[in-house]
Amino acid sequence: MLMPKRVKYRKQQRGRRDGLATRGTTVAFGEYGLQATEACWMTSRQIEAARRVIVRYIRRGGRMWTRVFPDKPVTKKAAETRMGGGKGAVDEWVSVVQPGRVLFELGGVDEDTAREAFKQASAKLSISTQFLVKTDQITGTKVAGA
Amino acid sequence: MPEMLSLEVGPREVVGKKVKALRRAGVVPGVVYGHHAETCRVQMDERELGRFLSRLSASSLIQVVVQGEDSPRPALIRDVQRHVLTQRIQHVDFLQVDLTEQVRIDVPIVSVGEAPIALPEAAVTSEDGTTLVASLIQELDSLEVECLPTDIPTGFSVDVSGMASVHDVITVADLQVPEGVTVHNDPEHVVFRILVERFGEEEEDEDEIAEVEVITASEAERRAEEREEEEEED
Repeated sequence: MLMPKRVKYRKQQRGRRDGLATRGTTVAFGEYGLQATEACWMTSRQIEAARRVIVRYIRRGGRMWTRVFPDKPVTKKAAETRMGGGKGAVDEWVSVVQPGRVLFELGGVDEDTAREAFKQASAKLSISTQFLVKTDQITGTKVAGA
Repeated sequence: MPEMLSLEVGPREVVGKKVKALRRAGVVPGVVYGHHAETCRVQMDERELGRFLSRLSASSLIQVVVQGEDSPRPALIRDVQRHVLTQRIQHVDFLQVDLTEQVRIDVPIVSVGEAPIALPEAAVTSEDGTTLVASLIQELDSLEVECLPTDIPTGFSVDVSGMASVHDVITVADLQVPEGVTVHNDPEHVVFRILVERFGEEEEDEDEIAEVEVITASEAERRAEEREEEEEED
């Protein structure tokens, strides 16, 4: 399970997640990408489940990049606890995902394989996603090899 | 010198937040600027621009014909801003160039052919059931070059069909650069390499949230001071 090795503060406030992603919105490492079209807190369990599905599907060949990291702690109070007594314990780690964020990338596989792998991975996530092909930022055309 | 493509644009009066209305009407705002050149706000039809851009390479020299001006402006496309979800064009920057003045620009690198070692049939399965698979990895997408605008290459095509061993690499020094073009990247920077990965039985991870070390602000400061002291000693 992904989580930070060490943090400066144990608990965080919730924050906001409106707007679109401004960073990590293009396919940077591989040839194909899975892009979030909604905002969410993606848990380390979801990221891990999606990663496993992709790795299992591509099986041989290809390389995968995970572009999100769950660095935000989410706390939860124990069940049947009365209010008060301070903030609950850290329950899970999440990554704040905004629309446009590229979640995973694949390289060294054909487009059909990448599409199917990302379709299966998308089923493990709580948001809708779309498939991206690496394109030239200026011309908007598919980059050769992709 | 290859023939330059021309793009007709109109002058733009609308600025600021009102350009949203332009975009809704299918018009893309843009700007032309450059060294010793007068900056000019422009606008153009979105569909026409999309078609025009798809005929270019990222480093193509073009002529920007601004309506009402006598002579076209030679320019490079410096930046195209796109919507992160729809990929619709939001804004275009044209860099007006002086044809006698050298410019620095990123030129894309593309692979040609297939590396034999990275083909699926080249995968090796060992006795313990694990499979070694090689794949071609492109480490560098573009080269930063300096040359006259008329000498800018449209792209660097690199033949990777000679990469037959896992140790094969193609570096910046291996690329064929035309005369009059200076490359500013490190010659030893790897452009293409072969990555070998082992695929076997899946590892099972712990499904628990482990304890995370918490560094308090004072602890972080103390560690930073320690690091600084160590660096000073070095």
